[in-house]
Amino acid sequence: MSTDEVSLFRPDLVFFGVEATDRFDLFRQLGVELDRRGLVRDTWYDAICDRERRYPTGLVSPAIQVAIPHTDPEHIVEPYIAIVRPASPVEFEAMAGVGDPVQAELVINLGIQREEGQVQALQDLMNIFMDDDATASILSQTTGEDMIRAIRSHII
Amino acid sequence: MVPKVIVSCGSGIATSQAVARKVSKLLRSRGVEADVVPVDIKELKQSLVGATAYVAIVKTEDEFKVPVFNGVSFLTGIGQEAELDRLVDSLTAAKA
Repeated sequence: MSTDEVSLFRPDLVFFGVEATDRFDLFRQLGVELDRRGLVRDTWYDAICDRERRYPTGLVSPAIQVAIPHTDPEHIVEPYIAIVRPASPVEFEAMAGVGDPVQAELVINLGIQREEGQVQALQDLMNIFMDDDATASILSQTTGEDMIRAIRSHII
Repeated sequence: MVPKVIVSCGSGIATSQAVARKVSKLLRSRGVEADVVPVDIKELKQSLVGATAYVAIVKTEDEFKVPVFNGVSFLTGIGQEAELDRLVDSLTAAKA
């Protein structure tokens, strides 16, 4: 993995036990954290809600139900990847409108721009979610440091 | 001519690029040459001109002249082999 990708996963951007009434509430709470760190513009919240309505990002793999919401790059100041582990699963519509709504156990917000490494980071994550053991190990973590370490250990 | 495969998502970044790379790699592993291009949904119609296949990651109600494939399966791995088989068949048939 390149330095660029490693730096995208940050322990301080892993949020556990988030209580959200729905996905938009989750975006609102996440937006506060991202804004505080200067990572997003003030257009970010509206943009991510709008995009999620039009192009939902819920995904179901055998190992996990996950959502990968993101916005167009102009709402991002600095590239980042934020991970939210909600207190209870949050409902997302399925990507491409295929299948039932997804009960996301993990929400990965890709604050990405057009660089190759960031796309690779998404692909690496998806590869992890195709693996039962790797996914279970990531879901069992309780601190940001441990979760990032677990993710990195499964990225070859 | 190398067949063109269009992959689109809402913004032409992230998911479409990830899926395009994956499809490209999978096709290479099957010995199929193709130009796999991620595009913004807004550029979809014009990008499909001259394309052989369309890998969709967004909901589509439109009808397309080219065969459409399920891009989500390449992202999650569910049904990936079946979609890849169909895509390979389609590209091989187009070349013949």
